Amino acid sequence: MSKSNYRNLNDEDLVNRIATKQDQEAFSTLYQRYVHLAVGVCIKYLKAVEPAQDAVQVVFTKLWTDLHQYQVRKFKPWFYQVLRNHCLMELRKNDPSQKIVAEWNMDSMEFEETLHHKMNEEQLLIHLNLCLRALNEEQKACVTHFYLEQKSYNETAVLTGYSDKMVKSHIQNGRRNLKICLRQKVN
Amino acid sequence: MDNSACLSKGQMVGYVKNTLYPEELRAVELHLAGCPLCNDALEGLESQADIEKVLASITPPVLPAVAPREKEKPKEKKEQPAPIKVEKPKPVVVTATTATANVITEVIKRPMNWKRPIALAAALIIGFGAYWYFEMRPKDNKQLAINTEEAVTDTPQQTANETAPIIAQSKVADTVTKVVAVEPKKNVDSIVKRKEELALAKKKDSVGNEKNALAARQMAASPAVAETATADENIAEEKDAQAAKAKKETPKEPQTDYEIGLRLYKQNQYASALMYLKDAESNKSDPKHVDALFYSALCNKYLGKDRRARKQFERIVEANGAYKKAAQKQLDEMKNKD
Repeated sequence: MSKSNYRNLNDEDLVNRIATKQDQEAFSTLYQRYVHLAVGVCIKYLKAVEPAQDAVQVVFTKLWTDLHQYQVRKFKPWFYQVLRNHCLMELRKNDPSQKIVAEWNMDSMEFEETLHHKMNEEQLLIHLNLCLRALNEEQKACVTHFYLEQKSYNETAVLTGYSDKMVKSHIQNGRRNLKICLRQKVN
Repeated sequence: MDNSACLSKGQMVGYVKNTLYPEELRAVELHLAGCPLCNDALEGLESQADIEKVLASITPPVLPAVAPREKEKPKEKKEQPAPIKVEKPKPVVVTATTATANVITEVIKRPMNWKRPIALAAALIIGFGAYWYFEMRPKDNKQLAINTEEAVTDTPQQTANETAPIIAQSKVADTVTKVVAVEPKKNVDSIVKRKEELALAKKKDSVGNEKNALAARQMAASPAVAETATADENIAEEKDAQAAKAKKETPKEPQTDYEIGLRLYKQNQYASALMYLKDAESNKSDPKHVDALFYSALCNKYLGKDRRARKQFERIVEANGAYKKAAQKQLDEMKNKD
């Protein structure tokens, strides 16, 4: 299989090839897709470049050797969790007294991706509208500008008067609350 | 973008440096709003001054060799994403009922750090064993044989000198019975057997000496016994004469240089013969030195060394010895040839 063909494969196919055939080309493709994200995540948690790069090396080496031990349905959330756990483990190793609580965001990611299987579009829009009204003013304003009026972060910040970071935070929190609300509606 | 939902390296750098087109910026922001992985990555990379340098300095990992596992199915229990755990291989338990072939394969599968020392030890043991068997054992036997022979040569004189024949006879009888009693033991090792044989030989010798002593006494005592003794002596003399004849009949091997040279000359080995004959002819004390000179000249002649041969024949003629005529004849022949 040529390199371009590997680029056309999705993450799960590449993972399957690595797990079953120890396909180096598949591993290389997956590495190229995620190494910069992995480094970014590790820098965020470990606060330094060199430990982050070491952590990334360790995680990818484990990926190569141990991937066959796991059944990975969705690679991205799984990989994200593996990265976070490794970073938290490193932090605990350096300072055992430090209490670090790992958050679990993957449920929302999976829920988002499988939402369309659980309700039709019309129902989804009705429930979404109801949930949007239930949000607080800041989150409602930011989510409305960003998603419905298709403004950028900067434009939303200008329109609402919040800083870029606050806009980002309101959008993310509003989005999470919308998901929680929609899940409740579906159940 | 690859067939992946996440942001590429270029999009990430472009977003941080604010160099993306509005459409692309919109796509990136929409993705960022719903992807915690990219959000965290962006947060981490934004904290660095030079993102491009950080991303360029990433070194790919060195992958360890792992055997392909096409037949193995991944475990079902891992539904939720979880950190990678290294599973230790279970220790192999070999029961007494398992076949030897299985045991061998299990042994082969284990890491073989002890293989080389064991092979070395086995080679050393075999080597020393072979050395002992071929070198040390025969030497011991030889040494034992030499010691026992010495003991045998010593003992008859003592018995002949010291003991009276009657007492000796009784002693011999005792020892013979002892030896006979020992004989049924067939499981003793070779060294012990050898000792017994030597002991027997010793006893026989002592018996022979005692017999001689007895014969001497009886000769003195009765003429009839003396006659028998003389008869025995005659038989012994006849045997000696036969041995001397046999010695005379055997061809005497050549001892002197001349004889060796002559024998080689007769076998047409002229070059080899010449070596011995030269030594013989140079030794003037040897009565055969003229003969050696003659045969040496003949050898030279047959080897094509005519000039040397001619000189030697001339010397023989000048010496005026037994070979003068023969030498003159050879000289004439050589002249005619020329």
